[in-house]
Amino acid sequence: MGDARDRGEADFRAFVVARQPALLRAAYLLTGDRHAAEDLVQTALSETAYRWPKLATEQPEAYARRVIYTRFCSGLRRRKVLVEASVADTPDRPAADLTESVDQRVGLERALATLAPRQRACLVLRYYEDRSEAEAAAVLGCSVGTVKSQTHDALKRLRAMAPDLSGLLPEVSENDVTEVAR
Amino acid sequence: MSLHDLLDDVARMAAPADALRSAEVAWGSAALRRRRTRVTAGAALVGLVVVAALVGTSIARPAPEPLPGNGQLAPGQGLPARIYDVSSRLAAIGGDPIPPIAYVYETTYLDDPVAVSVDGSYRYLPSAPDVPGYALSGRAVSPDGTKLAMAWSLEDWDVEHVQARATIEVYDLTAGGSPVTHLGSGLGGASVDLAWKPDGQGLAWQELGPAVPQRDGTFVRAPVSVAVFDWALGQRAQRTDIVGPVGWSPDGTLLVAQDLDGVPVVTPTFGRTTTRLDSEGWITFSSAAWAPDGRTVAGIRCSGRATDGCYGLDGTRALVTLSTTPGPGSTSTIALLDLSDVSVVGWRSGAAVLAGTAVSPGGFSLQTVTSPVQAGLVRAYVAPVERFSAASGIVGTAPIKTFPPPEQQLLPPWLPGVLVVGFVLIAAASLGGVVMGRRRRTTAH
Repeated sequence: MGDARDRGEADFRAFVVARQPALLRAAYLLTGDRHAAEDLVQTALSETAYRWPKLATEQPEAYARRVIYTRFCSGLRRRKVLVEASVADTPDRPAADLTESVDQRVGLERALATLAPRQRACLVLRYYEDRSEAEAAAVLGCSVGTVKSQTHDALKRLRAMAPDLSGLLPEVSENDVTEVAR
Repeated sequence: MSLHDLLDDVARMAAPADALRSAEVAWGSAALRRRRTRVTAGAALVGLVVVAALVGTSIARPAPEPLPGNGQLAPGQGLPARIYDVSSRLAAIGGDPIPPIAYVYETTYLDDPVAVSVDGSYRYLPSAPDVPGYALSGRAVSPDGTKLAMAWSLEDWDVEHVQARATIEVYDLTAGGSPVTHLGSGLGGASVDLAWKPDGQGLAWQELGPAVPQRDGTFVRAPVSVAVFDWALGQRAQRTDIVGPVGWSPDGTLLVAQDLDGVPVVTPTFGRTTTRLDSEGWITFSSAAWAPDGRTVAGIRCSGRATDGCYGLDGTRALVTLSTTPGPGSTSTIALLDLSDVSVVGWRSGAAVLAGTAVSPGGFSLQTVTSPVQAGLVRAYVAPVERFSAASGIVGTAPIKTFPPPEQQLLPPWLPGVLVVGFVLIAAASLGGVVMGRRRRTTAH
């Protein structure tokens, strides 16, 4: 029993060493704050460790990512202050003011901060982790239509907040969204 | 550059963390959480076991005693377990030899009086007349144990009705308790101190007048007469010259009562000639009984004149005996009964023992008081409840029974302990969970 526990702890430690940086990056994209990202990842790792005996043979990283996304969406709904604290300027600031003077990365980072948690999660899942809409919906625990509409809204807002990124943003037709919504 | 690449650039801004430290903290907190879950599950299991035990106990408990009802007969060990009320008292006791019905209890909880047989079985007797406001004011089992006389009076203190509503019913205990004789009350507003003639063919009782309001808000009924009814002779007498509790002589021809000054007297059942038993002062009895040898009467002494009623003595009361032959020094006090309520019910076993009942000052304790008269004890003692046998009289004693309120009786005695243990376990589990959770959060930070 003790050997199994030690072995499980060693496996978990190896998993954390291997996958924590990737989880941290995704979390940072979501939160826009390093400390918040570390907290979120630590929470996900604790949950994963609690269920490690069952997850060890399955996909612990998938579970950890699901915890990150769901905790982020639900946690930020409860603590809006985290989003607001990470935003330097008000969302109503004219988009033209933050272009030209900052590079694309900073512009994207600030634009991301203006998105709603679920929009942000959809965007990261679809275009950072390259998940399909169905996979994103499974991670977030929502419907494919919700993922489509949230992604559409997120891209639309990014275009408005960072016009110089328009060339990088994929096109999403209104028909897709309305069709799904219908 | 694509959106993915740009997002990847942003993601690389995440600060690298100490993965080993992070894994150690996560694994430690998970271990604590698992332990807390196990403790909580254990506590919940204990709670479930307690609940299951309670449910099982309640299911396994014997059914409650039969509800009061006329003529119900239930097996028992001499006393119904539900008699708990302080107003419970031994209302009557059978004669010698022991009759089929040994004694009768009255309780306010059961509403109906309970007749206890010599074999320990008991049954509920008829309840009060179906008129609101009636209350039982007196009861007595006939010496042969076959009849029960019960007196009812209206207790709403309505002067217009009290004089007409007092009534006495005589029930045949051998016929299921149906009323056989109705004796209308005479002058009084209430009939009390019912006393059977030794052969069971006569009944005497004291009648109290209308309720008179007192300064303290209470009502007092003054004694006004003694009524006598004899089935064998077919006679009825209303004796306004005597009052107080009545005791029949062994041959049934004389009564011991009190005159209007409260002096004990011996008088013919139907007649006016009286003999004062004591002239030294007032010895008002709250109850009286005549010894079978005819030479002694005994009673519980109370204060006041006979016409004032017996009140003012709470706690210690004197058990006095009077010789039926008048003369100086015929009075002797043989016992002091340090009980709040006691009455002489009758003589038993050849004038050797007086028996009665009392409710102790603490309440909820129904006891039989016996006082060996001839031994000359100066203090009465409280004996356990006696059990009766038709063959040999008193054959043994049973422990004093106490009668807690029904709310307490419905719960098993071990329940409080189990609840306390369960509460402590659950509290400890919760406290442990809180402490471990706090430690985990502290460690994580």
